[in-house]
Amino acid sequence: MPLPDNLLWDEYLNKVISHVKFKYDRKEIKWELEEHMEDMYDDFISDGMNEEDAKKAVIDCMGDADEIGKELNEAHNRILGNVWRISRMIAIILILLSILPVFVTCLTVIFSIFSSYSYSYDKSRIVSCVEVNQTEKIDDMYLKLEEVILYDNDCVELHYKTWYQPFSGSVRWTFDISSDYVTDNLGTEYNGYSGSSSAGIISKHNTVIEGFPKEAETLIIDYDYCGRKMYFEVPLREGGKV
Amino acid sequence: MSRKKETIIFIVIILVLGFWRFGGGQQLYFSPEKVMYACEKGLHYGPSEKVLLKKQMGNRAIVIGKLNDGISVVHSKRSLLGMWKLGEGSVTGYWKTVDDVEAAYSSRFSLIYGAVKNKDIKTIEIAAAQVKDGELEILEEANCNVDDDGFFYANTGDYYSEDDGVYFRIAYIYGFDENGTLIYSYSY
Repeated sequence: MPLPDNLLWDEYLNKVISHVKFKYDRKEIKWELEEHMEDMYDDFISDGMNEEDAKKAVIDCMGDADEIGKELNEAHNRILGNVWRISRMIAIILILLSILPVFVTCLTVIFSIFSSYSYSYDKSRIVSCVEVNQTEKIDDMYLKLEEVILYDNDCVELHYKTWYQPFSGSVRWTFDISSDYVTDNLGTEYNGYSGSSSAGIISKHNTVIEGFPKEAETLIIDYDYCGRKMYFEVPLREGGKV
Repeated sequence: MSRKKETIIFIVIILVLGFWRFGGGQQLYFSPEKVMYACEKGLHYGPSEKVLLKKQMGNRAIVIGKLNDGISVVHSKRSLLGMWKLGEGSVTGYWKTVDDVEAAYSSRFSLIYGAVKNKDIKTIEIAAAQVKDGELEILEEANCNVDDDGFFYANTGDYYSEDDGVYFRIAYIYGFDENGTLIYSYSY
């Protein structure tokens, strides 16, 4: 039911909200109190009271404006209110700024998980493929050596992926297992390697090292650099075909 | 939901997204020293025992750290909100002192710096030069004392050039013992 004249209520409500120091809540408090008062007003009218009496009765029922105002001020703490307001604003800005990067990041993660390794030579030339699936960690980077492939031209191809632990604070560089750290059970030194790496949160790498001796049985990766160590021993002749 | 709970959720969102967008996630750091330590971790060496030198020029900075067998050299650049990120171009990073004296000249930072392996060398006479069209021109000569960490440096004038045909290098290094006797020499 529409209200005939709101002056009385306005005065009352303004007195209540004048006690609330967190001014950003005043409008909402006023609106909520007004709703409540309107409900009471409707009840009084339907009980047969005339409009003027109903308006006054509502105010009587609501109680002392100063008292209510003080209670509401305590409930709507100004410090918490300001922290809430500012943090909400910053959070919204950050969410807006992050929508596109989050989408792109999700896509790259999905792509890096489901993308497969490239093979440097035709698969028909594979003599042996050993699934290693061993994970090592240096600093805050994980390296998982997934498979090692021996081709009929004595080339060895390493398939491995690297990723950083969440919230890692380090500058992220591409990491390669270089031939400096590769040897075999005969102690062969390998000079030079080739390969490629994919970008993304999970980076996939393939490294090719040439000249694995026909008599050698085991490929050894012995990374020992500035106190960081990783060790893999792969029985290369024991693998199957892809 | 109460305002308190909402505030906690907002603060968590700010911390997580803020770190991701402007902190480690974007590889931004609070100082050039922090960039150096983060770079060392990413390149899997160090961390430096201490900072030997930090030189800031405008919105760029170079930090040199002490490693047990060399130095760590990382340059950085000021970025968003006064944070720092790794500078463009190649990074020297881990520089193992192999020779009795190792030295470099950074024209961008107007700085000659180096490390000494031979503990008998107490002072260094060194020259920065530029090479243009195959001609070496000495830009500045400097005398430096080697500190207890085996580190030395000298500031130079501003000779920085973005001309692709010019590159900068050390022209010569002379190392002297405490009596002033020449015990090491190198020249281009």
